[in-house]
This record gives sequence, C-alpha cells and structure tokens, in this order.
Amino acid sequence: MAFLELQGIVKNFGRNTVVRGLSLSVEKGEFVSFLGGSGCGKTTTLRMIAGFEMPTEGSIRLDGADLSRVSPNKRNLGMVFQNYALFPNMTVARNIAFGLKIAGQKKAAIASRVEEMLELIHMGEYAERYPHQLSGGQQQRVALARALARKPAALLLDEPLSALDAKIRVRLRDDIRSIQRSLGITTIYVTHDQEEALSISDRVAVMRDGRIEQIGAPFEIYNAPGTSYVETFIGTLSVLSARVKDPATGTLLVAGQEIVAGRKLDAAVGEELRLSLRPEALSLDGRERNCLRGRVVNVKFLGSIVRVVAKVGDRELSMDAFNHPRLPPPAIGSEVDLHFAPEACMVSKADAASPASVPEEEDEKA
Amino acid sequence: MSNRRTRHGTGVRKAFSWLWMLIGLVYFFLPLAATFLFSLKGKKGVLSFVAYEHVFADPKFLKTFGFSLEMSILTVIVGLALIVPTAIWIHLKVPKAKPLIEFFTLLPFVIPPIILAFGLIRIYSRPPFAIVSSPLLLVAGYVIIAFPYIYKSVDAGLRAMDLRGLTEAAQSLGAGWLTLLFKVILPNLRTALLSALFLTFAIVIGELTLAVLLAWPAFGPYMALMGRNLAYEPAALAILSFGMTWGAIGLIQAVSRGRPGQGSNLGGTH
Repeated sequence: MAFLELQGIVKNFGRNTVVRGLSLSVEKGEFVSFLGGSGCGKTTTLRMIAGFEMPTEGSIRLDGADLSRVSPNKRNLGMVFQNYALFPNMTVARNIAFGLKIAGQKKAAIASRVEEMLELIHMGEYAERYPHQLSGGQQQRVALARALARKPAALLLDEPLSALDAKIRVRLRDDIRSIQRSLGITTIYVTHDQEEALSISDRVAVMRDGRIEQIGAPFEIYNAPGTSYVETFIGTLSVLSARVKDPATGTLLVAGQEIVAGRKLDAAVGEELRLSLRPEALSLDGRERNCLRGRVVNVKFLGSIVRVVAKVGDRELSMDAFNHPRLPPPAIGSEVDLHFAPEACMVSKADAASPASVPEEEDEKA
Repeated sequence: MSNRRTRHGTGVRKAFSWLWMLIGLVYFFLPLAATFLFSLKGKKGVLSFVAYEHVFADPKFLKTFGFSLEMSILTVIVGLALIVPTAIWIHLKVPKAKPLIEFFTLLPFVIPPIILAFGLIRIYSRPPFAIVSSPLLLVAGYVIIAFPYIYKSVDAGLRAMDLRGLTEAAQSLGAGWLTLLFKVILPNLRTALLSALFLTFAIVIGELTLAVLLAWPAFGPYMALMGRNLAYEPAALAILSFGMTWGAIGLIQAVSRGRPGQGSNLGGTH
C-alpha cells in the first residue's frame, strides 16, 4: 500500500460538489503536484489531507492509518500557506520553535533544531527578526522551516509561491525541491502554474472539475497528454484539422499537404481528426520527415527563444527555435517550411472538443 | 514648472489642514482649559489647588471611586471572558453570524440604560433570580453597556490579523485550542484587548443611571451629587477624570508600541 492513499474522495459544500470521486496513491518520498485552474478542487483536496476540511465521502490513509477521525493538530503534517501565515508576535526563531515546544521537546533540543532549520533555509542571521521585517520570499522560507522543524510525515504546500515575484519564485521553487530531495519527505504541492508543476514534481496530477484528468511524470504529461483538456492546458499547442488519407500508414492531409503520423490510425478514410503539435517539435531545417508550408504571420522574440507563427490553411502553427545571433528569424509574410518528426504528431478525434486554438495567455508562460 | 505648482498646491492644502486642526483643538481644549481654570479658583483672589484638596479629603471620593474601580475590573474580566472567545468563534466558525452580532452591538445604544435598569430590577428582584441586591447584577448590566465597545475593539483586532491562516498554521504545528488562544491569537490581539479594557474602564467609572437605579454608592452618582451641591469641586473632579482617561489612552499607546510586530501593523504580511 502506498504511503498516502486517497480513496474515492467526494467533497460537497452545501449543494456544490467540489471534489468528485478522487483517488490517488503517493509513495513515500514522492513529490506530487496538483495542477489546475481555480475551482478545480486542488486546494480543497489538500485541505482535506491537512484535516481542515472533512471529506463528504471517501477515506484518506497515511502510512496505513486512517486519518478521517484525526484532528488537524494530531496529523503531524507540515503545511505551508500562500500568505505565509507566520506568527507576527514571534521572532523567526520562535516561529520555527513553535511546533517543537508543543511537541514537548527539551530546550537544548529545540535550540539545536531551530539552528539546523535556519541553516537549511540560509537565514541564520535572521533568527531574531520579526516576520514584518522580512521580505515575502524570506517569510516563505521561514514558513517552510517552521513546517519542517517537527519532522512531519508529509509536507503540504498550498500555492506557496503565488504571492512572490517571478525571480524569487523560481529560486525558491528550486530550493523547495532540493530541500525536499535531501530530506526525502513526501510532498503534495498545489499550484495553478504549469511551469512550476512540471519543473518541481515527480508526478503531476492535472485536475479539472474535482477530478484528476491525468497523473504522470512531467515528461509524460507534457509529451503524451491523455485528454484534450490536458493537451491544451499544459504548454503551448497548435491545433490543426487533418483529413485521413490512409489509416494503415497514418497518412494525413493538412490543408492539402501530406504528412505521416507514424502510426496506424483508428479512423476511416476521409475522416476529420485533430492534429496537435508542440512549437518546440517544429524546426526550419529539413532533417525531419514531415513538412508543412505556411506563411509567416507573426514573429515573437522571447530572448533565448524565437517563436514563429505561420498560417497553414486557415489555422495557425507555432514554432519555437533557439535564438541564434547569426540567424535572424524569417520575415513576416515570407513562406517557410516547418519540419517535424512523425512522433511529434498528437492525433485525436475531432469531436473530443471543438478544435481548440491555443489560448493566448498560455503563450506568455511558455 | 508643474512640479513647483504641485508643491505650491500641497503647501496651501497643508496650511488649510493646520487651520482646521487648530479650530478643532480650540473647540476641544477651550472648555477644558476654562474648567481647569475655574477649578483653581476655590480660594478667592488666588489660583490654588484647594478644590482638589477638598476632593481628596472627602472620604466618599475614595470610597465611591474604589467601588467603581472594583466594578470596572469585574466588568472587564466578565466582559472579556464572554466576548473575546465568542468573537473568535464567530470569526472562525460562523462568519455568517457577524451581521447579527453587529446588530446586537447596536442594542445598548438604542435601548436607554434606564430601560435596561428597570428591566433588570423587574426580572431579578423576585425568585428564582432574586439577586437585585448583589453587585453582580450591576456588573451584568455594565457588561451589556460595555459589550459594543469590547466587541468592536476585538472585532477590529481580529480583522487586522489573518485569523484563519494563523489558526490553521498553529493547528498544523500541533497546537490545540488553548495553545492557539493564548500563544497565537491573544498576543496578536493585545492592542485590541487594551483598548477594550480602557474603554470599559472609562465607561464604568463614570456610569450614572444603572448605579443610581440599582442604588450603589458608585463614582458616577457621587460626581452628580457634587455637581448639584458644590461649585469648584465638580470642576476639579471633571479634570481629574479627564486626566485618568487620558492616562489610560497614553498607556494603551505606550504598551502597544512596546514590542515590534504589533500595534499599527498588527498581523502584517506584506
């Protein structure tokens, strides 16, 4: 049995069902992220693990023991909140010592543990500061140290980086991950930021509407999205409409141009399918088998990456290329050949969802 | 250019604010100064503290003041013990009840103390609640009168801190309700509790209606009696009670500024 088991969790708030039959197994030492938009039930699920909410149905087991009737202060779970929730009346050191004092540890043991934690978060010289004298990033480090000081069975983080600015967010994210690895602590991390989830987790659970849409390693989630929702939610994606020419060889027609999907297709000749392509799977040089010709409609220079948007038929296709000082990007209006491997083709039934064009905001994050 | 004009503009506005402040101060201090001056005229032709001497020499002054002090201490204890946990509970568990409690806090203003007093006398002068002769009834009445002030202070204090976040953080660290209350919530409510405390003191010390109707030798009735019979001593009493109130407010300021992380930036996360 897994270390943390959620089984058939349902949560109603009045007539609202927020979580609908969620099951999940987390192994010891694993880092699992709940990723989803607002209202998908990710925070509610985390709060049920923490004990702040009671599941309407289902069970939560930690290390073999049923948590259902255990109050939050007896669960021995470390929790980190979005708004830090440090005790404003206590210094950094006393904040970290809080849980240890409650656990009834000896003074000397508390002092050495506090020192150890301060070292872990590189804030030794801030021991006597008060929370309001610290920056947001520093406060969240202290909150992390406070949560870890008691050596909890698992660590729960509820959007811990959302209130911080971009640079600190990335640095603290890496710190959280390296601390988690060094302690080997089982961790559940709630976020709405896909880049955060992909970069930090062993496994990502993409959630929607109170259910897990797909759970898997970041590589898997990104490269083999299981549903059209996951496909469009994670990363940037160009969606084209393709007509089946030969299902046996996986040959498709896209705006009159022939490509191969590299596998047998379970579809009839002439059927309309969705063809999804990641921008980084395309390139301007001709080493790959497939090629689509299009007219450049937009070129976005993003620093290390240049994104070229070309129109193929009536759809837009995005391509990412690394910036190269000697290779200026193609001019708008010019014709380009976009090459990609057969394996890069994600083909799905067109009726799964309306052929989703990629939302613009996803562009910004990628 | 535009910079200078802006600076000029703020200059004029500043002058105006000072003017209004001056008018306010005069309005407030002039009667006080006059009362003070009058209280010094106990002896003909010279300024002296003779009226104050009379006040302190009167054994009834200390006796009534002592009685009212006792009552106010009891009121503070009972009031805080009743209202603080209630307010915390409402904030955490039944936030929907907030408007109802807000409405209750208005009742002591809407219902005159005289009605409260008659109500108390009617209900508590016959069995099974024949406690009209006990000072407990007076304290109970005072708690009702002080309730809006205590609740509003505590409410403001709770709003200023991240009560839910702090509660959950403390719980996840193993804290039970008592630890949560005494180590986390109350220390962060210190300023609010102090202002509740001193407001209650100020109200109870000078309270007249309940004390008269329930026939207790309190400070309020004593001041009223003095005011009817003497000239300079009531003025001295007024100045004294002003001084005490101000002393109390100064104390709130001093104590709440005492430690960092509290006072104005109570519960501050930035």
